[in-house]
Amino acid sequence: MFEAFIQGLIMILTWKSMLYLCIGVVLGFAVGILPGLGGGTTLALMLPFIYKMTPGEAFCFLLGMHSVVQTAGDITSILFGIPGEAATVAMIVDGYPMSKRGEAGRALGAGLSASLVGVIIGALVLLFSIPIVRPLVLSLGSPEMLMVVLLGLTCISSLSGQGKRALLLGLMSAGFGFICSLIGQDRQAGILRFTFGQLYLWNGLPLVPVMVGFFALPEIIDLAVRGTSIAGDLPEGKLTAGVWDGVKDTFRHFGMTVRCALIGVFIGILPGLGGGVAQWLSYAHAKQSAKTPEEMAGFGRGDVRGVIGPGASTGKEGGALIPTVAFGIPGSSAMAILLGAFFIMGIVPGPDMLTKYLPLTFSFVWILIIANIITVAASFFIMGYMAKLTLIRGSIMIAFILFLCFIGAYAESNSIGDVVVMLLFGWLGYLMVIYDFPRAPFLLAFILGKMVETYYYISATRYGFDWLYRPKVVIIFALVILAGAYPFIQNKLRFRKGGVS
Amino acid sequence: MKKSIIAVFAALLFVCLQVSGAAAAAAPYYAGKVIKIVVGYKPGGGYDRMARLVAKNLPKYIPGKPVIIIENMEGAASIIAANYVYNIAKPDGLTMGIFNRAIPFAQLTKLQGMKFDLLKYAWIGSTAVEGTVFAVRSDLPYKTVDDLLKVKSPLMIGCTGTTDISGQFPTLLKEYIGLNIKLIIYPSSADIMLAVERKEIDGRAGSYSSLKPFIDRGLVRAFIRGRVAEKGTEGLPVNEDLAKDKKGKAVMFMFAAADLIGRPFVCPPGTPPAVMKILADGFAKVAADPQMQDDARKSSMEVQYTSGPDIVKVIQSVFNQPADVIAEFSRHVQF
Amino acid sequence: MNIAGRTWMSITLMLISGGVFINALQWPVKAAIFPMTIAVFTFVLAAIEAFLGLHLKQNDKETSTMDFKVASAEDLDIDEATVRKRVLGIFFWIFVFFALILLVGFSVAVPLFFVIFLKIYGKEKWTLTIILAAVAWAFFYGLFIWLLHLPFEDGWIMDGLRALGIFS
Repeated sequence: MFEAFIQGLIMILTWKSMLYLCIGVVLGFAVGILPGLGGGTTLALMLPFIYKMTPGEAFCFLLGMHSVVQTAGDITSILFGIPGEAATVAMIVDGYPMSKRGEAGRALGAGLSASLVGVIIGALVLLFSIPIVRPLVLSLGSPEMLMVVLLGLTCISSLSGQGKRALLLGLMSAGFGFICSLIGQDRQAGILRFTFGQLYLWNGLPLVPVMVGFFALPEIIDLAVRGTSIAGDLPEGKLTAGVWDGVKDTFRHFGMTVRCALIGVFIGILPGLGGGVAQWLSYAHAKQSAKTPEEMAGFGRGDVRGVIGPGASTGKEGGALIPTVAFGIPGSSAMAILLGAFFIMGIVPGPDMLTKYLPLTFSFVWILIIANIITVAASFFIMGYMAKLTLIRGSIMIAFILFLCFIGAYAESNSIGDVVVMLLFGWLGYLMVIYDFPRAPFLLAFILGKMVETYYYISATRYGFDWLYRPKVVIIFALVILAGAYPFIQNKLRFRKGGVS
Repeated sequence: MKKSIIAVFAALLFVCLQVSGAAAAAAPYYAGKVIKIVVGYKPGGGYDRMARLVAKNLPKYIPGKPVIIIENMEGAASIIAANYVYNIAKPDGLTMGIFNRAIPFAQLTKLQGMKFDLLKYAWIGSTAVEGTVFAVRSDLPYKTVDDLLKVKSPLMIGCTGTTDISGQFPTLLKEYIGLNIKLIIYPSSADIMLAVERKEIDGRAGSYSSLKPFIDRGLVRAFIRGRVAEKGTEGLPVNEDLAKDKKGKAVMFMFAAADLIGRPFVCPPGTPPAVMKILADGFAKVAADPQMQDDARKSSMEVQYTSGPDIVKVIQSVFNQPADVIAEFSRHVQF
Repeated sequence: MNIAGRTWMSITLMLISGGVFINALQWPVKAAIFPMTIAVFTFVLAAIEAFLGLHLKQNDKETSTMDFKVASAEDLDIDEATVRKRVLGIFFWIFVFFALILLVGFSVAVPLFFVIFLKIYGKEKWTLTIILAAVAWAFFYGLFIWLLHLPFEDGWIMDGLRALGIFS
């Protein structure tokens, strides 16, 4: 297996491949950094251009581009509080507050270095876990997958707030997110649900306008109320100096970083879960490392661990390759498009990819590593300048962010309807913020709604009620209950220990 | 549009990197343009792979050498994609659609959720004839059709929707041969095959070309085929022959028409005939292209062009079936 | 204000999930099973929250989300009225931008909004305003129109004038 690992590296070390990789990185970065524009669709559009390349070059180009989009998205999450794509939302929770305190540099340093560590660790883990991947995936059926997704949602719901009713509000948020995901034609029968006679809604609410409006507009309102730049009126000195502090933070909490990377890899391996679940479980784990209630309260207000956790979950990129190449089931939406590339290149996904063609599979992993190294290294040079963006006067920032929001929402399908959706969800996001409903569970439920419905439908139809008694389902469900009850348990324990709470 | 954004962006980028030749005197319609093929299924399935083969090889047969990209719009067995191409896409020759070949039967039974009329599409044609087979997991103890008929608990059969072959072929087997099955809907054929590996699902019906890799690997075994035979399936029992009822035979015979429409490509209604001619000619030529044939073989598919008008004839023959056959079909086949 | 607002939202959610459930009754099983399940769960949760909100009079200061908070009056040492004014103000400007896009199309709305907004709201100097508006417009035009050939509609005013025969 180790030889395959090395062979994979050698396969891609040619001038042309490296050139294509760099082009891919530049393209991916440029696209990923614009809020709302970018993500898996970029990959889709690049496919026609790989026809003339060799497989090595083609994948250097595509994977190089793909692995960078996430990192670029993290940057906009931290600096502006606007998610670059759905998987980077968890980064906003602690990253953006850090920017608001003038610690943008530190956040960027921590987030990006954690990303790099995550990818490398993810690759190493893959190296050793190839033998168990197939049995692992095959042992989990639809009911178990459903439970894993519910685990992710519960973690977010329970950890996204303090106090007794936080879990309740979080679950309500998630419930509403599921309801919104119902809009459109259903996957099983094509019945139009809640489309109110509008052709526009047949395919459901579009994700990008919802995401952009939901997160960006409340930030704009906040900027307007504060009347200052994003970083407030703090001295400039902290900004750029912080970058290396951030890197040191990643290594200071190395154990946690590694664990979050592992969470990333293993969630990535599970077919079809997507980036959101991995990031949030990593975040939940990072939050658990808080030892006192004050520390816990610090999460969400700018604790650097809340940036490292999601950052390190990039292990999922390596993980997501596995179900894609071994089963033809994409581990994320970007992988779905890569799958198309495989077919064009004449590669048929299947067990052979983990045995006969293992060097090729590992060459993919190497591309992820190298692309991330290049991105992070290049970013370090400009991070100082990027962090300075948080110092620009509020009104100017508002104008530009509004501009990007409107164009980001509109350009997707040239439809004013998307802009309306963005405004609507902006208003909704604002309401949720002022009335203490956490937004994260809503978004995750909205994104995962269709998948949850599929697993739920299959579980119920295929197994009747039996699926509730399957052993793995019961185990994971117990974890779900535990995750939900965790904050209460922690409080009780602390109460007993400390006397007065 | 986000997609066209980046497509044209990259198209220009690559034009700069690989300086191309001078423009023709009268620029062809498709010069510098991007064609989008909307595929009603997720990547990896037979329809998607065929679309990608076309996307790769067709441009050289279209004057102007446009770039062709794929957009996967899965759901409800490609009804969502079909609705999109019919109602939302613009009839300017820049959008094509490929959807499931059994859709005529959805229209025949006036399915709820269907917002198109097959006869009004601008038809390009079909790039393959696809014989259908019904396959079951090899590790189950069934060796012949009779074994299958004797199962005590229902066979769990995966399909991508009740409106495509994977759903309808088994349904007809259930109605007219007495096969004891239960249909479970999955988002894509790749998901179904994973479920087969996990032993969550016992089998699937589909085009022989998309099942062949799994049959060759030994994961599933083919038991029954439709009227249209392909290399390797000639020896299988035909569903029509197994049906005892005369009406059943007639219905299955009608159903086999879908196999002739193997991989149907359409443009939105109202696309100008001149543009359609460019596309149809391109398709006819690419089907004979050796590179295309070679790529297809690697993907275990075969390429054979059936023209738009011929396809329309097949669909009309389905719609013009005697009323009692249609009634019989509608009565038994639930959507 | 906070408690009442949250309770209103819970009641609304109850109504919405009730509506989902009722609608789902007329769909075939395979399309209805998921909506009905989540509608029931959400309804129950929202009902509990609404009940707690109406009957527990104490201000639940403990509960806060990890989500960021829009800066409130206490944070900034300004009074509630100013906060409300600023919030309404920014809502107003967002709608101005939207209205401009509808009326005159993106190409004109972008620089126009920048000029109006930066001058009136931001109270910036003319030079800076013009420069920034030019930058925004150049970015928009260069990327989306020149390079990517995206079609942008002309806005209702243009369409209206065209309908009247002015401009072909």
